[in-house]
Amino acid sequence: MIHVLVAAHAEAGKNLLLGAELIIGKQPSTHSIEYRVGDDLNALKVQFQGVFSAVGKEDSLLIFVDLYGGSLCNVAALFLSKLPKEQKDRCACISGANLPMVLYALEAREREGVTLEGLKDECLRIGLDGIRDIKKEFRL
Amino acid sequence: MVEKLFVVKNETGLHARPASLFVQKAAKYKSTIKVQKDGKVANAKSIISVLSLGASFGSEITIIADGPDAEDAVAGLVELLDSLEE
Repeated sequence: MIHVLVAAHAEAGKNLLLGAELIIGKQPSTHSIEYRVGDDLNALKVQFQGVFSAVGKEDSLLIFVDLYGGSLCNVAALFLSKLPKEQKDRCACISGANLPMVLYALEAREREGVTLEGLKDECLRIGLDGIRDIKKEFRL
Repeated sequence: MVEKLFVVKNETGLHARPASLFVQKAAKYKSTIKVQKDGKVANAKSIISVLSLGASFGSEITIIADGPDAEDAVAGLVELLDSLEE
């Protein structure tokens, strides 16, 4: 199983998962990390470690963070940098978390032949594809 | 292979909730099912794929099924789309 973690400012991560579940129903093996102003960065790192410890040795973890270069992104990178290779290989991380990529990850992660790396690459593509000019798309 | 053209009737188009119903129904069939709009092809069993078509009110979509239950699949999906109220 590929676990999905969404780490975002305030409750955006939790709400992104709720939004996805509104569309495709309740999902197992999902996690969120909330960051508020003043939160201790070490405590955040412990939260990432806590989520990873819930991931089985045969499973992997796809992390979505909201803001590239933000606190959650940098703490995620720090957390990943400290992992031994075998554990690091079972993690992937994408910034710019949005509903299309999270929705796709939840929908596609259990399909036959899906790998963490493949899923991550598709999420990157789909996350970008969902950003469009609506007036142009709908010819308004 | 079986295919049928359908014109999207509900005002808000094939948005997340109807798309979800559509995808759940499509998943029940053994056949490969695609939805085509303006030359773009989506996997009918993937919500993200279907949503990416942007099938708004008045859009012409073609449902294409290929497999042992292709006729049932196309008929079932058209019936579902016909019954959508939102």
